[in-house]
Amino acid sequence: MLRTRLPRVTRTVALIGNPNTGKTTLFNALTGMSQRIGNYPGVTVERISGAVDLPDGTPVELVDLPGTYSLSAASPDEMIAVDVLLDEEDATRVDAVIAIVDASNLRRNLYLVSQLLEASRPLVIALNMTDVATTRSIRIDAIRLSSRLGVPVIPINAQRRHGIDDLRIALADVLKEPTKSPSMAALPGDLREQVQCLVQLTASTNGFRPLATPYALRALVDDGGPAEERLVTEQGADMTRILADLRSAVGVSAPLSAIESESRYAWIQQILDGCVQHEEELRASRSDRADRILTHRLAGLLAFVGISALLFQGIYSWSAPLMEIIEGSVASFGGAVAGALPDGAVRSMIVDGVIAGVGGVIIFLPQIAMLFLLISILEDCGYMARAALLMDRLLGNLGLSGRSFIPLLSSFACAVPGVMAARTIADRRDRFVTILVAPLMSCSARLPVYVLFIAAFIPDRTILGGWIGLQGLTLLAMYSVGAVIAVPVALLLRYTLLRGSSSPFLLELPAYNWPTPRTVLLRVYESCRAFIVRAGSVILSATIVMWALAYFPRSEDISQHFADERAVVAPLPSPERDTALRRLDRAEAAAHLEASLLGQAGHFVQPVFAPLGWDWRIGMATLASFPAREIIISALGTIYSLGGEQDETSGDMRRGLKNATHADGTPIFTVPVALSVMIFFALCAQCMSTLAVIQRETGSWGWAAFSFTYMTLLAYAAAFGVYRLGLWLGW
Amino acid sequence: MMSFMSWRRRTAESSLSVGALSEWRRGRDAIVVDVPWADRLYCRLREMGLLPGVRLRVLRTGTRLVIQIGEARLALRRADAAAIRVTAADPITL
Repeated sequence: MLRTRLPRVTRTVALIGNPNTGKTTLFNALTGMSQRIGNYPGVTVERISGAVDLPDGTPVELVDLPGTYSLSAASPDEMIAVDVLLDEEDATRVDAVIAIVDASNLRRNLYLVSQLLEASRPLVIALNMTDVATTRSIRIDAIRLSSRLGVPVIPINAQRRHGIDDLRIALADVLKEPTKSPSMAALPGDLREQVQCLVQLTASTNGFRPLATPYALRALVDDGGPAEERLVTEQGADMTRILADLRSAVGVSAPLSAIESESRYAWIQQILDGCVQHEEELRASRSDRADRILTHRLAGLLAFVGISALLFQGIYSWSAPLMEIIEGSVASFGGAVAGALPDGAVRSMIVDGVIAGVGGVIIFLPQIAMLFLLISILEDCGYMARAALLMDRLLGNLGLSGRSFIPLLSSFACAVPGVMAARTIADRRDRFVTILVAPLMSCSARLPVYVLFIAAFIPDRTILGGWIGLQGLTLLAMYSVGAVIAVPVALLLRYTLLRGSSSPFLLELPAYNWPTPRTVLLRVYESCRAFIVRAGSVILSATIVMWALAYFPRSEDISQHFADERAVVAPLPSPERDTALRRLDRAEAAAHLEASLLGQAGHFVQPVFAPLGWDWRIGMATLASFPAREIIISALGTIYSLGGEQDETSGDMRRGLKNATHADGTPIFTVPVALSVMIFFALCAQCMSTLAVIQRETGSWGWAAFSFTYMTLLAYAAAFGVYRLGLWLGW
Repeated sequence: MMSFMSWRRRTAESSLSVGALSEWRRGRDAIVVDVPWADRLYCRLREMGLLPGVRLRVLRTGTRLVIQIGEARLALRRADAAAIRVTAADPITL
């Protein structure tokens, strides 16, 4: 069928290559700051694209594909490279492909190239002469290589930005070409025949586009793989039989995948013969010497603990000054706005809802920036692969792999960057389990809750002969409870919802090198932007809803009552009058809160929280702190008529909590109640930011809802258990 | 077709002093004799160049191995490496 293809104004070019070949560096060099991050439809893998300026002015959108060693995909995520390359939809069709090839590892990199030559897309090879390749004096005859492969080969140095203009010129040239005819020179003749057979077979089927050659090859070679699966879904169960027939028609005893790799490497050998100076011996490198220590069973672990401590310290304390500045400016901005607006619902919504809500989100920004700065540096210099290697043994027992370590560690500072850091985990199930248990790690937002309740209710005593303080021990217990519980949760998830063979552990350790500032900073910038834009919009709406629930309905009677009271104290002399007015303000806020929808909800859900030893006010404060855990502090402050501006170290706050009594005069907070509140907050998912990020990273609200549900149930059960245990022990 | 036929022959020949990769000493070069056909992991390893006849070096031993093939360093689990059979690269050191 002939279709007239209108030339699109913008041409699409895909950038593909092995992991650790400098692909991101080249992408940044070609696109500059014009990057856009989206998602591939239907999957959660990010689609990073950017504009490239070509010498002839053709507008080009460059799409950065996930790093891959081969087009044979094992998981749906890995299918993306194949899908983007072979997409035949006119609107999204890739017009040309740039394959980045690492000169120091040419043989293995050409494996992917041999597969790309089988697609009907014009191809340009960017031969990245890394410093490793230059210092090893690996000499490659790029012109001869180009003539043998039949595609342009452009030597570049991505890090030093050499050869980028040559690459642009070559790209402009190939974009003028029509589609090239696929070459299957790397495959044995028998296999080639069966692939062509399958292509013709599908071409003759009505209503289907003929299969692209690489796609037909994958369906044939990867027995039971995603390409076969999709072909069977699209064209019916007959396909299974047809594929089996074609496979046996190749007439070999070995599986086709073994034939494929064997013949591709034989072809590569022919291509390289005379193009590259041969290096038969294996050379030791400086990285190997560093790895003698950094991956050593003992020294490596010690170095790893040190680096982790530094990372944690960085997230935890280096970002603190910035966070304080943001907190201060949000508060003063809120104050300024409050002064400029007349009293009423609009002012309350803007100041207490919008500014406080958005401020509560931006406050995490320094931590996120710091985490991604440190992680990007470690990733870019090559250490992260070593950390994954060292941690694989520990996490392998949980059905995870070493790659989950950094996300889990980061979550002790804040689950938001922790969940985002899980992106580096290639396997979907591993990634999801990591994301789902990450919020169990005790983040910095839980600390204020612990500090308040421990200072107020845990006696300042030492045990075990004066060595260990009871308060410190409680804090340690609160910090470890989440991590301990994460172990059975991860195992349970791995055997139920996210069941499946754990991904095999195979990791390339790239040579150590200095991080590229541009790559690192772009990654920090992108993470911050994504966090603000997407999580921010969700959190903003959630906080406005929470504000409205705590504000409405506004009872005229209460306002009138307090206006009368104020009139009574008005004639008093100045200091006494001010104290009285402040007391009245707090009492009014508390009265309004109790009458609000949230207050009514607190009364309504009281039976639910009663088994935990909580009265309706704690229940309401917990409901109010749904957007963020630390809200419980100011909520309790308001409820116990202390005014909204409370922090966990304030003596008033502690006294207020201690003196709070039930109607019959018994104290509301006892040690078991305090412990039950603390453990609830240690395990619950009361954090809109985290839930929003889980939604974003898993691509579904279902997983966010699941996290919230399982963590809340867990928190409830643990709070109940601790309360009952406390009562039984007579604390 | 020739290429993998010759591979089968090589496998049969080198029965002398063939061992599991998981048991190989650190720093000693080896030649790959046999990589299992089944399993995703071994497919990936073959795609990455771990084929019969290829020279490799073990850089780290223990529960997680690091091997060098060409300029690449690959980490894999000891249990997975047990199925890969290798022989000494240099007969003199035997």
